[in-house]
Order: sequence, then C-alpha cells, then structure tokens
Amino acid sequence: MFLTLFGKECKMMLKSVSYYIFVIVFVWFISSQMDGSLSEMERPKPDQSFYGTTYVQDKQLLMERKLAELTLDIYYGNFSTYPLGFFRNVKINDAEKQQLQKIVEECSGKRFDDVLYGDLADYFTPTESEDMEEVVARTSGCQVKVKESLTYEAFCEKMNQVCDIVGAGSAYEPKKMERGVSVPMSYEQAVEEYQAMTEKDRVTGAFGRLFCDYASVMLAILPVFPAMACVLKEKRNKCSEVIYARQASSIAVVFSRYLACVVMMFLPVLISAIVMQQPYLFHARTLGLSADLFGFVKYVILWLLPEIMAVTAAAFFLGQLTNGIFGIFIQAVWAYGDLMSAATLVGSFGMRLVARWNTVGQTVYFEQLKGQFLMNRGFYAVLSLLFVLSAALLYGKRRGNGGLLYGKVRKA
Amino acid sequence: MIRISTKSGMKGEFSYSMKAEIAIQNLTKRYGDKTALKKVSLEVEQGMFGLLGPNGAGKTTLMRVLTTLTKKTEGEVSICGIPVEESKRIRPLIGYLPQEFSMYGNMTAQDALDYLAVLSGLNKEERKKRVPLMLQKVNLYEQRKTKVKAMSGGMKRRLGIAQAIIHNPKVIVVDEPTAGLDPEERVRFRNLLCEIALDRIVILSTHIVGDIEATCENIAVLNEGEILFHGTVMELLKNVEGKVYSAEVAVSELAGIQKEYMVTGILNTGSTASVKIVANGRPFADAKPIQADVEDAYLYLMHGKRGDEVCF
Repeated sequence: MFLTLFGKECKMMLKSVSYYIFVIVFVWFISSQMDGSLSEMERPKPDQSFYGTTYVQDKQLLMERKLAELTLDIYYGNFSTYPLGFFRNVKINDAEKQQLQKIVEECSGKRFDDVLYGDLADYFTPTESEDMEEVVARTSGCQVKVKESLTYEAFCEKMNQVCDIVGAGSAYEPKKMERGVSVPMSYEQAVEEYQAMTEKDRVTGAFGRLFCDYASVMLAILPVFPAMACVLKEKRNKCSEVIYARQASSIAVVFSRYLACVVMMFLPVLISAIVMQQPYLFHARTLGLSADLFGFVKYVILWLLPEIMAVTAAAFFLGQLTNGIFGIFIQAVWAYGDLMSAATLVGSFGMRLVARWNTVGQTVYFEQLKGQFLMNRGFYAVLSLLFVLSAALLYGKRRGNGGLLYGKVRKA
Repeated sequence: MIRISTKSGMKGEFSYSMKAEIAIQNLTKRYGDKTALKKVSLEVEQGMFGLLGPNGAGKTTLMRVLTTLTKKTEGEVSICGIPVEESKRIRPLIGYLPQEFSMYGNMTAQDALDYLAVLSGLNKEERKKRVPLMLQKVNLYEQRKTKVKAMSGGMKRRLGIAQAIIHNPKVIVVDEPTAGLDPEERVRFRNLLCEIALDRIVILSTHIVGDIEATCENIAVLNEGEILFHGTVMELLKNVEGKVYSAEVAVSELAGIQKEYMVTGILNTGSTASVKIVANGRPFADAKPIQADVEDAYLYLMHGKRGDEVCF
C-alpha cells in the first residue's frame, strides 16, 4: 500500500501548480547565482602580493581588529547596523561618542587620539594597489593593541556596552565574533588551499558547497508552499471525510505524502546541481585538473536534502496543527530569523537551518568544521522525522479515533 | 470466507458469514455543552435502513460515529459484532458517502476511484478488476476520463457510491445522497442504492421523506438527538391511519386553515384549493378521509413531539 500511495502522491504533485512554481523559482534563482567560472582555480605564484584571505580563531587578533574597527567607526561617527536584517545607519551624538571613546581607552589602556593616530596611522596612508580585495583586506586588517590584562570575556562585556549604545545588529555583537577573524593567506597557505581544492574537493566539491550555500537560502522557505498545498489538499477539495474513513493508517497516508513531497522537491534540486556542475567539470578538464563527477551531488545530498526534509516536515506538522496556511507565516519567520542570525556567511553552522558557505573553496577551513556541519544536518534529519511523526499523530486524531500504527505500511 | 484488502494476516479481514448488523445502545455524543445525540438505541439489519429527521437532528453525527470519524461520548456501538472503537477493524467493513462528496478536482473518475481503492487496501489485481466494474455499476464507465471538477452533481454522487462500495463493505452509510439531484437522477440513484442493499446494510440518512418512502422498509426518525420512532414504514403509517383528510376550501380561507390545522398539501385550482390535512378528528364536515403517506406520518410524528396541539 505504501509504495503505491507514494507513487500516486508523486503523480499528484506533478499536477500541482505550487510544485511548478517551486521548480521555476528555484531554477531561476540558482542559475542566476552560479556563473560557471573557474577564476578561483589558478595555482598561486610565489611573487603574488596577495593570496586571498582565510579565517582563523585567534582571540587576541580578533580583539585587536575589533578595537580598530570600533575606533574608526567612532572617528567617522557612523555605525552600520542590521536590526532584523535590514540596514540602518546609526549616527552617534557627542555624549555617545565620549562613552564609546572611553570604552576604546579602557580596552587599549591608551588615550583615544593616541590609538587613532598611533596604532591606526597606516590606515590613513594612501595605497597604490588596484586589487580591491587586497585594499579591503589591508584596511580591514588594521589592529589596535589591547592592554595585556584584558581577557576575551571582559572584552566581550565591553562590546556589549557598545551594542547598548549603537543598537542591535552591529558588528560588535559577541556572537558575531564567533566566526573568527579573516587574515591574509601566506603563499604556503595559498598553495595548501589550492591543493586541498584540487585534490580533496577535486574542483567540483569546492563549487558544490557554493551551490549548496545559495540553494539553502531558497530552500529554507520555498518547500513550504508545495508541502502546505499537499497537507491542505484534502480540505481544499472537501474530500477529508472520504479519505479519513478509509482503511489506510494515518502513518501510511502522511508518510507517503511526505516522502513524495521530499523526493519530488529534491529531484529538481539534484538535476540543477548535475546540470550546473557541467561547466566546472569542463573547465577543470581544460585546466588539466581531475574533477569529481559527484562533487555537487554528494554535497546536495548531505547539505540540502536534510533541509528540504526539515522544512517540508515542519510544514506538514504546522499544517496539521493549524489546519490552515498560518504555518507558512511561522516558517517564514523561522527562515528569516535563521538567515539573519547567521554570524558569518562562511561556516558557523551551529544548529542553523541554513548552512552558509558563501565562498569558493576554503577547503581546509571546511574540513575543520566538518564535524559541526554533519551534526547540524543530522539534527535536522532527525527533527524532520519527529515532525512527520507528530503530523501523523495529529492526522490520526483528526480522523476521529483512528490509531496511528494500524494498517500495513508495506502492503503492495 | 472473503478477504479483502489484505494478502495475509487478520488485519482488514472479515467473513461474509459474519452477520451484517449494527447495534447501538444508549449512544450519547456531546460537543462541549451541546448534546447532539441523547441515549440513542437502534438495531439495524441487512437491507435499506432509512434515518429520517430534520436538519440538525443529529443524523450526520450518528453517521460519523458509525464511520469512526467521531468518537462517541457514551454508550455502545458495534458493527457486525465489532465495537466501533476498533476503527482498524471497522473501517474495512464500512463504505461512506458523506453529505458533500468530492475528490481531488484534477483527478479523473478512474484515478479517484483507484486512489481510494488503494487507501482501502486493495492490491493491484483487485483494483484492476474492481475499478472498471464499479464504474460500470454506477454508469460512469464511459466518463471514466472525466475530471472530478468537471462532473455534474449526479455524476459526483454516483462516483461517491462507487468509492463507497469499491472495497465490498458490509455496511454502507450514505448521508443526504439525493440533495440537489434532478428527479430523474434521484430515481436512478435510489434504485442503485436498493440494488446494492441486497447483500448488505445501507443506511440512508436524509430529511427527504420521498427517498425513504421509495427505498426503505425499516426506518428511524431522529429529532434533536433523540429517536422518535423506530420500526417499519407500515408501523409509521399506522400512527396516522384515519387522520389524514382532504377538503376543497376557498383560497381566502387557506391562511386560517393553515393556522388551525396541520396542512401537508395544497393544490390551488383557481378560487378554490384542495388541501390535505392531518388531524385527530374530522376538521370540517365536508373533509374526506384519505390514504396517508409517509410524509403525513412523519409530519404528524414531528408535530406531536414538538407539542404542536393546534391540529389535534
């Protein structure tokens, strides 16, 4: 019964408008993000002035960078904040300026002007480089020495005071410092990174993560619509009672629909990944590099499948719970909150639904975070099963006194 | 022994030697403070059984309890000896045509029937045989490719019957099946119900007396959650024997007569009208006693229950 039902539910999805909207929006979005270029794949040369940046977890360096950033923001009198994810420019008044200067002085143990014109003297020296990434790296690489007795915890406390003055969503929120600190790579590090990308990631793996990064943003909300349409189709077509009174168990009905939704939504994602991998495969071959045929596919399965499962399962649960589309708003808030709470666009997976990796490569760094990443995806896979099980229980309850586990799930 | 819907094991299994009967004892259903069914007791055996009552009488609640869609509050209900709480065993025995039958609009008649057959546990071979058979039985085979959303009310209702009998249940529950059908469609539908009631119980719940009169031998009348009458159509008619009169009256007198007596029919013929009156005694000298029909008996019963003394 289960497999037959699954097949029929898949067929039904193929007749659903919301499914085609899902496919079109997803394909349009992802194809507008991936350009198929391999410019990041050039082998580093020893005489380059800049090799890109990498992230390190160095608290001392992080404090010094943050203090420099704070000093410059005070100097310009402007703070960029993102309360609820939207940009807001905060201008500080004289009283706030003095309070902030005092924080800088307490952290550095020096007068504010000495910090500005001493530690940050280089910042005010013009540069001749035309490499934008290098210029950004140089200016954002400014440091202000913190006093020796200042612990990281005490520094975070001071940054909380800064947040109290400039408001929520600034770069001084301690949780945003979890991402580590971006530092310019040395030649050796650049070579190591290049080798990791060509040997470990075999080119396509590095771009596969970028594909997943973009896709995961869309998949945080997009599956809600076909899933909710699937959950509410009985109500919309006024055929609930006819179906409720049948012999099939609630678990067979709900799980077959859920599985159909997941499979049918995963298919266009998988196909898009396979298609979009082709230019990278081709370019890699022309560069004489050995590319991984499954570079995109393996990441899509590990990265995006648990997300589709979780979002779909939550829609099933909320659809059954509210018997209406209210769940869409809850999930929109969830997706938005998850996206906006990300401390960084690279790594810092934690328990976030949307796993960000908005960069090509950084293979060595990814390998360090792989355990955290796998735990995150595993968590969402388990969570989705709990959601579907709860949805099946609610469905059974709606069917009157129908039990959950009766009926033969595997009957042909 | 006939097994449907399962290849093995006891699940979903029943025997046709099993007696088709429904036993309801002191059934009460409450929705919060409102009592929809009050200590209802009924015995239903094979054949057509009519459940008559006005809108809001509790008929649909009773149907929903029988089809396991609503939990009873108190009392005992069993179908073929199986308590209704055991929905796993009850559902294979029940076919249900709800008041407003519909299916996914973009499915064809054949696909909808096949989908519901899967949900009823029929395997591929069984579906291959039964789906066309049922479509033929309800005269929908030629329109099997018609989408549900394109079907007329009558076609939908016939598809509803096909889905209710697709898994060969012992009991079929049909709730207000003829509402909205044209006369021809209604007669065809009633005949279909009688045909399928030959070897099972068909409970026909309706407020349309004509449907009951044309199809059912045994009936129950439900009003405000209580059984007012349970017996045969003949017994119901007996209650009103000698109490139905016909008279020719002036049209100008109609309003007064309607106020004073229970008028069950008026036929205007210009300045006079022929009225049908139910009353305990002869209403006026020239009123002639006539043969009562089920509608007269039903109205007599209902007015009696409401304490409407005006006509008696």
